[in-house]
Amino acid sequence: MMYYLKLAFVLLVIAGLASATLAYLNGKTQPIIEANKKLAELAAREKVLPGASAFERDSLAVEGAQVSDSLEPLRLQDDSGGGMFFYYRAYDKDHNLVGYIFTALGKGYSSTIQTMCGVVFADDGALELNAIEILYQGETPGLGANAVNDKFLGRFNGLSQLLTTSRLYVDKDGGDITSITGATITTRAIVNSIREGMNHLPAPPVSEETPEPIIESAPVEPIAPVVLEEEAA
Amino acid sequence: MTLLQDFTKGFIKENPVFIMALGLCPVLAVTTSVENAIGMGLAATFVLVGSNFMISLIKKLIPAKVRIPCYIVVIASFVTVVDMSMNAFLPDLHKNLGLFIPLIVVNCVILGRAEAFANRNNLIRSILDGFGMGLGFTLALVVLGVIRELLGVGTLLGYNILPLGFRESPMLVAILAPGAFITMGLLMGLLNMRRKTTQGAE
Repeated sequence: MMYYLKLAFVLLVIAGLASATLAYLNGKTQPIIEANKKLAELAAREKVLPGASAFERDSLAVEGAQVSDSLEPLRLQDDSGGGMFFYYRAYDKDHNLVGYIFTALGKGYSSTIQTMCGVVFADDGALELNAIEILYQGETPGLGANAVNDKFLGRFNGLSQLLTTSRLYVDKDGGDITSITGATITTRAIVNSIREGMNHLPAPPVSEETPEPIIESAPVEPIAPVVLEEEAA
Repeated sequence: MTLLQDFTKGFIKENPVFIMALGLCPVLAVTTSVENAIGMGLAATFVLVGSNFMISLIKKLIPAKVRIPCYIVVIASFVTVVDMSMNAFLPDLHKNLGLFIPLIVVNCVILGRAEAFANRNNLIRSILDGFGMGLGFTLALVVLGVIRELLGVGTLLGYNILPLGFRESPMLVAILAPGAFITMGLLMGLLNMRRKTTQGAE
């Protein structure tokens, strides 16, 4: 009897010591990890939308919306049941609206890929994808994981919304984005999540001085160009 | 067995991958590139040395009946410590290796060495064994990684090696899952052949 109590006791002590060590270390490293994450996100913002200095969070409901986890402010809920779509309005140092930033979520081969997208306003009043950056991916090393290379990310620079709505598909789906060798699923996840996010974004504001209030219900409709045409007529 | 042999036996003679066929899951999964192979190998070596050290230290306190759960707790704690510290202090390295670190917990090389060596031998020999086995594991990973990256992508450590014509349409199967098994099988066969012929000569 004493022997079995001893067995349990030894296990308890070892497990207790291990837990205590880990708890202590977790308390020490967690704040640093959070800070690193924040820095990485700031660096990614700077990369996808250089020149923007202030960001304002906004959200709009996507069909059949449920309130999503507000701790994950940048993410588009990827379950098709809908959710909240979060994006940031980016301002330069003179408080001019220069673009949007959002993080697209796409289910890849072995992970949910988080892609930060910087969107600017093209001269013709359309939305244009400025640059993208992969925040997180856990795809196959050597194949899908190659998505983080600038060679692939560069394919998304400067795509206008016209392209986004009609041609932003993987080449195998009849689009213009060449997929990564041996990693069509990864490429498709990224491309589709970006396209979806772009379609949710509000149209660019009409006037540069006073940005139009964001229309929450039908963001895809290009409201601004219509107004301009009426003025011309 | 001398201390030197404790250290060097893991390289070829008792190589954990090619001879003992331990820990094959991470081996097959991460050897798509040399860089990943080196990272995984070094991370596993670190954990192997650490867990051998700990287990050799506390082996007298652990009753034989509960030794396996104790080892697992020690190894898992060690891996978590590595994971958290690396994430906090070396975030760039963690970004590349983060995926593999949890895989080390289930790497049976580590449990195998704890059970087969560290709980029977003294501290110095256990640490040497951990180092040797870890380096042998790394060596095996790198050999696989070199072959697979060279054939499958045409590069080594990301540098272009093979001519452009090959890199445009490489032997893609080499970095896909079947390539791992094929390369692994051929290498194991080669080593066995060599062992048989040298034994025949003796």
